[in-house]
Amino acid sequence: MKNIIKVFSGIIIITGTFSCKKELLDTTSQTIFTDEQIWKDPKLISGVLANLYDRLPRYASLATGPENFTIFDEGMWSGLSNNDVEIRNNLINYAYDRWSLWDYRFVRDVNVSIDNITSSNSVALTPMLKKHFIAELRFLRAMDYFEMVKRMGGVPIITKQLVYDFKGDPAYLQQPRNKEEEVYDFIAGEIDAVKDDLGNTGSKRQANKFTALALKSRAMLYAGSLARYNNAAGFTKSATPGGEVGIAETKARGYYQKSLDASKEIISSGAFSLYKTNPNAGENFYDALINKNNNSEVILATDYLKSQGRRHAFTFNNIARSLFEDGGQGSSSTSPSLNLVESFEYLDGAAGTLKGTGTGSNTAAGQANWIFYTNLQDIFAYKDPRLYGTIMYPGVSFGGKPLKVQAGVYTWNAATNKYDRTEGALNSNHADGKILTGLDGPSRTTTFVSNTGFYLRKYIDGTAGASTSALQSDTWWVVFRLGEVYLNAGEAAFELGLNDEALTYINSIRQRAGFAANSLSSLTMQRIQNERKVELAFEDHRLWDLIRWRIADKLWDGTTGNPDANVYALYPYRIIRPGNPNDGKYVFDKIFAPRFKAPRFFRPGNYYSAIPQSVIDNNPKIVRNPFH
Amino acid sequence: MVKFFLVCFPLLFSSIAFTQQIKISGRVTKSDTALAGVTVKVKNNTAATKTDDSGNFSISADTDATLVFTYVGFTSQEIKIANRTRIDIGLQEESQQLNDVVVVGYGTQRKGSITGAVSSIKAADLMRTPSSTTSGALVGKIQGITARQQTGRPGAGTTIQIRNLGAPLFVIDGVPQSEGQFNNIGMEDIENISVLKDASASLYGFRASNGVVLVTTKKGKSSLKNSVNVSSYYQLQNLTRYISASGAADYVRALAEAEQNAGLSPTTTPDILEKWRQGTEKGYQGTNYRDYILKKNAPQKYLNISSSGGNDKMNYYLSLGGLTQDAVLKQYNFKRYNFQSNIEGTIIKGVKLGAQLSGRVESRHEPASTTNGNTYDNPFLAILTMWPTERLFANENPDYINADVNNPSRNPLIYNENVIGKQDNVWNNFASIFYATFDLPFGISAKATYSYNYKQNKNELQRNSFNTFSYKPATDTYVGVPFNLALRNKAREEIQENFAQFQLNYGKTLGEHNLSALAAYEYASATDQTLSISAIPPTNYTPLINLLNINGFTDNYAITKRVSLVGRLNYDYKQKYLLELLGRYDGSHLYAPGKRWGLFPGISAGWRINEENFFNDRFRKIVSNLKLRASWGKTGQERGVNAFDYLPGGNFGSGNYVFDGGLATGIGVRGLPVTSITWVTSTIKNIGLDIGLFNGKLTAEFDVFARDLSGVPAPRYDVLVPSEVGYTLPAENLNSERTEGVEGIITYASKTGKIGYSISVNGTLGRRKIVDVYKPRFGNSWDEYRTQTDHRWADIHWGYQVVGQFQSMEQIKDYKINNDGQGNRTLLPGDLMFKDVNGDGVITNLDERPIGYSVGDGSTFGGPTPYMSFGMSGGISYKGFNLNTDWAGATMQSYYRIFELAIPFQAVHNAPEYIFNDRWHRADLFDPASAWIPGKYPAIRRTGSGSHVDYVNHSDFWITNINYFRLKNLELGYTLPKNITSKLHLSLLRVYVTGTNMFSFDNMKAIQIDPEISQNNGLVYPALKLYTFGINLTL
Repeated sequence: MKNIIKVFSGIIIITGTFSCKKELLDTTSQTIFTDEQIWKDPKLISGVLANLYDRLPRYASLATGPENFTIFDEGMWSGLSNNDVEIRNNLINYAYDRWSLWDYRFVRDVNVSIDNITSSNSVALTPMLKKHFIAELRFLRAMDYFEMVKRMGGVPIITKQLVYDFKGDPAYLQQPRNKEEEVYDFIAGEIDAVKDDLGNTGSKRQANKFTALALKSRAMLYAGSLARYNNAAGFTKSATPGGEVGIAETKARGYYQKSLDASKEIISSGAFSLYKTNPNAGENFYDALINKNNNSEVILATDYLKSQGRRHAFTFNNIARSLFEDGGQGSSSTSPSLNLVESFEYLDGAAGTLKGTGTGSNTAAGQANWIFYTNLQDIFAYKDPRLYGTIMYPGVSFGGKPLKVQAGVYTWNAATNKYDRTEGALNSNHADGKILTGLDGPSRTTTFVSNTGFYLRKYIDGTAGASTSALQSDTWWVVFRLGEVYLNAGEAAFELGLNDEALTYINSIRQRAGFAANSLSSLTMQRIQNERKVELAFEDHRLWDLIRWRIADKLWDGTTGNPDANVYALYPYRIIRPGNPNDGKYVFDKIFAPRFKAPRFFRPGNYYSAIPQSVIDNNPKIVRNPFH
Repeated sequence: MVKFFLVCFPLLFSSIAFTQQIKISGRVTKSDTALAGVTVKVKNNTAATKTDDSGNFSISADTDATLVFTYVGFTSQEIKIANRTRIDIGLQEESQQLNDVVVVGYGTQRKGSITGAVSSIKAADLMRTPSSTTSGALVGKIQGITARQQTGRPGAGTTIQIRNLGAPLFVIDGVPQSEGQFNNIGMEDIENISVLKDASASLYGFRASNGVVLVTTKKGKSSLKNSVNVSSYYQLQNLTRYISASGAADYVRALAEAEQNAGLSPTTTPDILEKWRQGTEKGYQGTNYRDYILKKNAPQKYLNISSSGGNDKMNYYLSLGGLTQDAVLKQYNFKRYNFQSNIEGTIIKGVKLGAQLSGRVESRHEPASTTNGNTYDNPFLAILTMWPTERLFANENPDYINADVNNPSRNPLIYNENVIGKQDNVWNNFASIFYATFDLPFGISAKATYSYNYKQNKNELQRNSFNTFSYKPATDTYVGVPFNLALRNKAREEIQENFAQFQLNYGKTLGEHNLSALAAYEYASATDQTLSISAIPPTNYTPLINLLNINGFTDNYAITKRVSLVGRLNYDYKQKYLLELLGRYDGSHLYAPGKRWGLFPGISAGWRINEENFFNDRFRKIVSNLKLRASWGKTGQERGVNAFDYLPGGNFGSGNYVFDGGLATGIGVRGLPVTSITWVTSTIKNIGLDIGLFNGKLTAEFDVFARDLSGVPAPRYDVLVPSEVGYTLPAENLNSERTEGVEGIITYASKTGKIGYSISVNGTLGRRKIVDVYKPRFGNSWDEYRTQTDHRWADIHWGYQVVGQFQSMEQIKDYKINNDGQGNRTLLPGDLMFKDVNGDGVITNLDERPIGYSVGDGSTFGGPTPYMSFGMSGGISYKGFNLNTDWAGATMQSYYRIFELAIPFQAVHNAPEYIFNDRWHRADLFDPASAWIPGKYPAIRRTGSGSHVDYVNHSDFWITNINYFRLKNLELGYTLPKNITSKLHLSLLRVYVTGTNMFSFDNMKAIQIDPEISQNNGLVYPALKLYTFGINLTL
């Protein structure tokens, strides 16, 4: 028994050491930094900034929302087919909340950061550093407010942490929506206040003075056009009595002027120049966005770095099928529209409509208009080189590899005195041993191949392995570039009646694109609009431009016959007519894109997005947007 | 005479003296097993003793006295000494079932004195189902377990729940363990499994609200005989069911039909259709991918060798086992090796030391996947996604994988480790339990336990780059189409678990009052570290990673800590009135300081009515047992909170971003700290009745239960904090829900002559109901009808009701209800007519009504278990033969078909045979004016079919409320007679053959889906049909 007691008490002691530890349940996380650690260490504060840059709202971009390039008029969806995504080609209308954004978590995190930095008394955080950090945080907050105001109209401007006291009545935290113009004024004011405190001189990845000015250039242009076009004749005003949306027309000039001033400050600073490195204008335009080394044009970009694990699948998802290095399916999700292709003018200034296309009706009449082209790319001859820089069209190469675009063949039928159409499976040969249907389509039904005959070039990465799921791509996403600033300046000047100044800016952009110097001698709003459409295609401008010009509901009116509201395709065919001079030549049919089902329909209620019901429930002072 | 007296009297006297001082020793056994603790008493005397661990006793008594042997649960025996000095006896149990010792929380109890709802299953019954995981073997055998075998993938477990409460807590040999540990324990090493379903789980506190599964592994017996057991089986596996994809001829015809239905003229011709139908001409030969992909009679092999034995001082159980299971897909397999070593020894009298060591290596081998997803999915997907008109090989040349198919990455030839590479996932686990027990004075015993587990997971992916080929007949060449998929990934996870427990037991019998008590202290902590590195290698040849090629790296760490105090008090009077009090005081690291601790008490009581005096003997002959049980208990649930939610600060590695100097590691400002939340409290009530009739031949148990969860986290939404503050208020413990149900089991076992037989049926019905939702709020009465959740059964499945199918174009033209939301312009005969419930002339979501029970969420695992499950098992034995059968079934569960299972040409893929054949279509494929011929499925469409109202509208046309009853096992075994086995120097030799999942009665046959699958596209590895040939032998 003695022995038992001995062993037993030994065990008691051992167990006791387990249980007598103080704060038995306290654990330390290895993945969480405390407030005390973060706000006195500039390196960790940079980490907070990195997180905020990463979280900046983006609607359509390389990594976030690339599918939004396929729901307007720049392109259509040609990737996976199932009921979730097929809907992109069969959108009956745009839901009122399709691009809604109420991103106050971002605002709160910025406000928390500013407060903590302000009150930090760490020696490592010099007054200079504090000033830089706070300026950068305020810039990020202004970016977030711009993203909100362009979608929602006026939103409450919150610049301090709102702390709930847990006493059951949070009514004291309710703040009404600010007027739309107040938000734009706030953005301008913040930029004016911080632009000279921002460090990061020369950086294209973090905000500096010129980044702030680029935001001001864009935001003020938006405010100006809202004031101008919301009140334009023939447009049903989108306005609320409290001014939450809608800006008085009299304010337009002031905003245009601010935008122009900001643009001019960037242009005249000499810090940037339009990218003109490659003598081939088309290649140069492609390079202007994709080149990350000493790019003179880019002001701010969201960057990726494969070697350190930050990458995106934009190239994997969108490269032309025959260039896909992953072998299987997954490529070619975005098919640029013929509409966009035809928006690129001819170098002589003629409208961009392609010449000699058939109707695809498989009748003699439908073939009457054909021009027999020797080479596939001949139909695009003398087009604005930006077309080449933006879109891969039939007959071009990418990285030295020719695209394999051919929809089928037309065989002469002497009996009916017309050509008979044959289309086959992808990558199939005709009985004559030559290509029937190319690996790049276009195909009417197959997925992961172009449905329109076109592929994206802009932002498509030609680096080896970029279109594999393992490697992916690290092309950057350009947020602000000088090209846009020129267009902003041109538009603002034009709206201010400064025609000559406007022409200078627009002609500079066109000259860089490959047009002759002073290619335009007069300007109209339509020309400026088209210039933005082609210069800034697939850069997430199209929707917002159409909204601020208040023409989205006209272009995308939901009617079947409206060429602006529907996506068209260009199907190339090889002619088989042995003995005839046209044998082996190519013809093109312009058709309604086969996978495209419902015309684009933008309703007046889409000009301002729906505010989530929960937001209104939580704060009765929030008034709804018109039509909702 | 005097002489006589002189001679005889001393004799008489001495004989009297002799009878007073005889010492008797002996051994008490139950069928050769020693019985310890048996009371040995001299009748009409105070002298008494108890048998020791080996069953031995010694006592002094008169030579003509009578010894009384009593032992709880056994029939008392009285033996006349009759001058003997050695008496060995075997005690008979009162009634078999009542004396089974059942493992309950922190100890064992006799079945007869249990007051909670506890079911248990023994090794022999468990082993009857040759399942690779433990959970699979439990299905249908005991009441209260609901199960769904979502996948038959090698090494995958079956989702089991207790009474549909959610995932239970698993405890192996007293130590809480993960479900994976439970599923992969060596099944031969299991002595028994107990399932605690009611307040009896309160002893496990915080994590036991969904019930507890207790596993006890085998230990050596203190009998003298050492034995060696060998068991082994060989198994043939086939899928129970899988979808047949349409063949080439049906497919081509369906394509043409889709064109016709779209108002176009078919691009094909009758000749071409005929060529496909014949399928002999080159270029018109179809491919049946299913035959290529699915392998028949995939083998599973199992071998286990164990030895056990012991003596007075020591006992041991050692076991070594291995299982290899091939999948029905080529090159996919699962292997597991287990060892278990349980040793216990008495170091000094009253002190025992023991160690239970176990380990396993568990490895899963698969060809790599083209996507980073699930490797098993691709081959199954291929069956329905590849076009039957395409060929596997380019130009039929087996050296070249065909690239010219619509979906080259699904060509099943790719899923070959020699092409795409391989992935190996290995768990190396070591578990140890060390304990010491002490017999202390005053009826106290103590036990100290320490357990350490080390689990390591290795995942190695070696994915290759390779070519597929496009054949160019003109030049007779093969042009390579590259798949640049090369990728390496090495991931390591390391889990270390510490568990310490100190336990005190006390037992006292005062006359007819029996009292026992338990107190315990527990400490558990665990860390989980993961590290993963991936690289894009320049070559296929080596699996090693070079620094240059690294393209991804993650590192993570998690920690948990829990501390508990446990107490239990048992009291009974004459074994007639039983009472048990339970309590646990638990602390968890998950909550903010101040919210960490919780008390979880429980009480249960039993009344053995048959022990009452009013139960006369005649009655007792019929009713051998009648017990009423009732229990009430609280347990907890850690829910709605993540570790460290109570901390402000920033999250490391959240939202990395590239600055000029390279990648900056993001730090995400954390949201509002959650300090208000604490555990969810579960209160479970149970009333049960145990009945034994005809001397225990017929036994039954019935239970009615309700489990209430209160404090289920929900936002206090009437405190409307403006969204502009940038945070949402943390959830608070506001809502409540209830699961209620009944369960029961009836068993009849008897013997007629040499034929023994038994039959048992069981069933469980349990369903969740939301009781209270924090101040529900509705916009209007429709909203209330549609979205109300409180006071309703949970997981109601809503959808449209189909009232018929359109019979003709005229009917569509004249149809008054806008059936497709587009003026019926998209409709064709055969399309679904939805019920316009609210009569507004248009089908909108206002017309949705409940159409089923909860369905799978589309994920492979973790779908719902059926609300009602039942099982049946029966056995019959004659001489050495035995025939056993197990059945399992379920109802009140739903299956909703999506994607390939419903939509023709889903994602431009193929479709099941039944969709292309049994469909509405025109009589003449080339005459759009021909009559419509009815079928089951809507007319075929191709482009945009996925967005057609037939499929987009969630309707009861596509739901099946599943009922099934399946033959789980049919086993025929033969034990060789002793005279033969002894010649072979064996003590036992048994051979058996088992058929598993041979057939089922169910309503899922028509769509070729196994009734237990919940994934709604059906593209998973279903349950397996198995034939097993096995042998058990004991040396």
